[in-house]
Amino acid sequence: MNNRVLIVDDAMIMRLRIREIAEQSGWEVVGEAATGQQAIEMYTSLKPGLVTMDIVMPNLDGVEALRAIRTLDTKARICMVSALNQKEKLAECIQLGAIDFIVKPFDKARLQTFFERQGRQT
Amino acid sequence: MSDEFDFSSGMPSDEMAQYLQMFVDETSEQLDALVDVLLVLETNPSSHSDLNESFRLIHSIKGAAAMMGLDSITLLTHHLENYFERLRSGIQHLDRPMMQLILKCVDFLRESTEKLRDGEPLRSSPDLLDELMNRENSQEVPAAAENTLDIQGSTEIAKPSEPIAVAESLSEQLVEKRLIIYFDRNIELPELKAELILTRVRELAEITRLSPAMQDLASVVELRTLQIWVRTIRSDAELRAVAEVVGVELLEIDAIDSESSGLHATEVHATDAVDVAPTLVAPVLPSEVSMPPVAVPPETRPTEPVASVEAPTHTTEGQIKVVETVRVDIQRLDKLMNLAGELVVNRARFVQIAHQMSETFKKSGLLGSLRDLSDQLQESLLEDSKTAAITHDQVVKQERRLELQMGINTLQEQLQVLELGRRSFLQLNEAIDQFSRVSDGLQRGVLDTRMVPVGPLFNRFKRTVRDISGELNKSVNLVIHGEKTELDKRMIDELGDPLVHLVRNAIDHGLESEVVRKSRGKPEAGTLTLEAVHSGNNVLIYIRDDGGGINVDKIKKRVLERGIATPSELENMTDHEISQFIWSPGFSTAEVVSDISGRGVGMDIVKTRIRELSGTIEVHSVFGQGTTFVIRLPLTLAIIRSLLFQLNEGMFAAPIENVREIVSVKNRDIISVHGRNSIEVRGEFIPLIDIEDVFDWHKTRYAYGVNPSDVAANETDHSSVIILSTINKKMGLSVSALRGCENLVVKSLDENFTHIQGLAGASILGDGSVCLLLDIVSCIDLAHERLRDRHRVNRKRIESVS
Repeated sequence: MNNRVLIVDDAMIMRLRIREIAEQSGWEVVGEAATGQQAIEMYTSLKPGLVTMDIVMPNLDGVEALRAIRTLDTKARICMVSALNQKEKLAECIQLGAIDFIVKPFDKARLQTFFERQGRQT
Repeated sequence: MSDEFDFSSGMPSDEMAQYLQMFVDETSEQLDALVDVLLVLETNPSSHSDLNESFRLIHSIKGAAAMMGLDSITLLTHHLENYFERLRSGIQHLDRPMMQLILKCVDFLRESTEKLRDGEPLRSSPDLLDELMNRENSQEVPAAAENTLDIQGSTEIAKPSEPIAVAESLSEQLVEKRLIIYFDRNIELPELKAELILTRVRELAEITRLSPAMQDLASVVELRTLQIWVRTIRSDAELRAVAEVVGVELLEIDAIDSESSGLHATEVHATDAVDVAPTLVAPVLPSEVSMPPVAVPPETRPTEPVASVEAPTHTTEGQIKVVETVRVDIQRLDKLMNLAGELVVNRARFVQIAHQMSETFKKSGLLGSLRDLSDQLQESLLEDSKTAAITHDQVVKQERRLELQMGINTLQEQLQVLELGRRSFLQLNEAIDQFSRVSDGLQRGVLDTRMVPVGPLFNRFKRTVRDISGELNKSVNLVIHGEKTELDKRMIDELGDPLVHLVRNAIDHGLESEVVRKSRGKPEAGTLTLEAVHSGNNVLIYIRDDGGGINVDKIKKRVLERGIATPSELENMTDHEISQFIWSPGFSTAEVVSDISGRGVGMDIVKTRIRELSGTIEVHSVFGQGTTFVIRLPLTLAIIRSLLFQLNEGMFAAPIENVREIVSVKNRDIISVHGRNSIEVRGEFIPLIDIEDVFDWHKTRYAYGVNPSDVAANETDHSSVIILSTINKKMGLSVSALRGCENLVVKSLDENFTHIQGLAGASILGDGSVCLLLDIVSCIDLAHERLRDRHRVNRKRIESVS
């Protein structure tokens, strides 16, 4: 296990915000991906200990990226970060082995708690 | 009990400091809200939505305090939360002594947040804790009922010990555990979170039982707790790792072994089992309908009515939360405000300079006349060269002409440069206009950021009124209007104390006892109104009671006792004038000095405090019908839109709100009413006041070498009179010249110099000169005082002559 995180979101502002909170919580952000395809590629090359994954993205959505990554690495720890209206997709993600989900817009504190708890476990 | 909750998300102390301010602010707001709800509960102790709201508030204070590592607050709120948990579930009822205890706890919490704000160490609250715990223990008596609940709650497994025995036979390490998951308030998609946790827990353990049941989870609207009974070989840490997902506030894991299950599980379990049902605003569980009569009322009551009652509260809460906010240290805003103020001063300076430059660059101004001159020179030079014959000695002259021509050429070139300058100047003017717009916008923007509604301030008085009226045994209805009216944050902070004083006074001295009220044909309960109204650049705050009004006779008596005025002085005063003596230092008419409204040191201090906020306070009273205090505050302390005028040699300003109109008065139209100069404006007589009636002006004027008689001689037969008005007073002030309107950045004289009665502050004008801002209310008062004194002297003179 490592404390390296990959941030996947097509919105830069989201990536910045998550990066900021992750870094404050002691995580090293090893990469940022803006599409599902990129996420899969970066996951294989970087082998991060944790991934935050948006759902609605161009070029392969978060669900497909999750499915692909989990197939490549059954121990992949992926947390979905998504808007409230993605309930069905989130349910699918849970079945696909996402370790958690965070609803956008998120509280800083909530995400911080997440990173801190995950940090303790690794 | 405190060992039971382990807030694993504790924060290192250095990081804590960063969040302390936020915690203090948030907690104070939550405490305010809590008091509001508690007061509602006092009249309606079984209101389920209010019990829930109280629980929620206490719970979130507890959560935040635990995160901050503030043990004394966490501990107290934990016990309070327990208590409200039992109230919610109907096990206990809210009685008066308990309410007093809860309010005491709130006071303790408030005091603690104040201490945190001031950087003082927190003290613990052993007395309150003891008292709370005593009540917890003493009321935990109906053990029979709890046992019944316990059995009813665990219908799925009749006896927990049986499966364990089976499990033990299968594997030594297989342990039965219970996960109690407390969710954050307002978590999104709770049913999905539950599903997530179950999915993940299932990877590590066999789930034997669930509360709430699976089929109910899908339809929950609000999920507070989820209990999962599992059989597993995994460690607590492993379970925690998967179950502690985002949105889980607290996770407790109990090991259920056959020995302790009886005792330990019952104690916690009983409350929890009850807890789950009321928090789920969902269809009633079939098993719960068949509960024994003891438990039915609290269990079934919440389901339907609560859903309908709570729905609107949720939506309004949702709407409020849409607005994203940032908490900012008020000192930063002060700094920004000051800078915006400086910018306004600078802008005025630019405007002034541009105005001066416009003389130079005007088409018909300097540039034009220089151009004319150059043209004329050129013309006469041409004439000269045409007419004169070229003789020998005129070769020299020709040379001169050439020189002159070159000079004219240079002049014309320079004029071109000047013309360019003129164009730049026009651009500069445009830029200044633009700058003015931006600085106006900035100023408004900065002001806006400082504005907060008076609602929370007013709502705090619900508690004050409750306490005081209880102590004095008077029943008082507090009516609040205009709570959305906004006021500068700093003023809201400063207003608390004076308002408390006025409210106390109103209840203590203003409102009569119930017996007296009855005999006067008034409703037994007095009404106290707090109202905020927006009026131009001011906010007016009314503190109104329907009590006995100011007793003028009592005031007269006291005034004479204290030697504040003489009987003959009082004789000439109207009731209104006499009631103004309440503002005198050391004045008090309370026959019994009570703890509540202090010892007669109040009203003058109230007035001083309001004045420090650049505000004014006035009192109106109708004997037998009530008293109204009106506080007028500027929207902001820093920038005041004012009318500028000249009085003799000095520049003065009056806040534009106080200027009713400007009239031109012929000297022969000034009439004398009761020995006072007055003017008639559309049938209304308004006292005309000279600045000499307000200030000791003579000395300054002589120092400047101006003789008053000269000024009088110079006066035309017209003079401009500004009609200044306050809430109930008017006066005309004759001025030497009017100088227009400006936004003045007001600097306090009190801070930099000394307080001068009649002046609200000073400001620097665009040309760098100083302008004094009049405090209209005290100016009018001063003028009245002076005139009264003069009147008295005159009368004495007449008396001695006759």
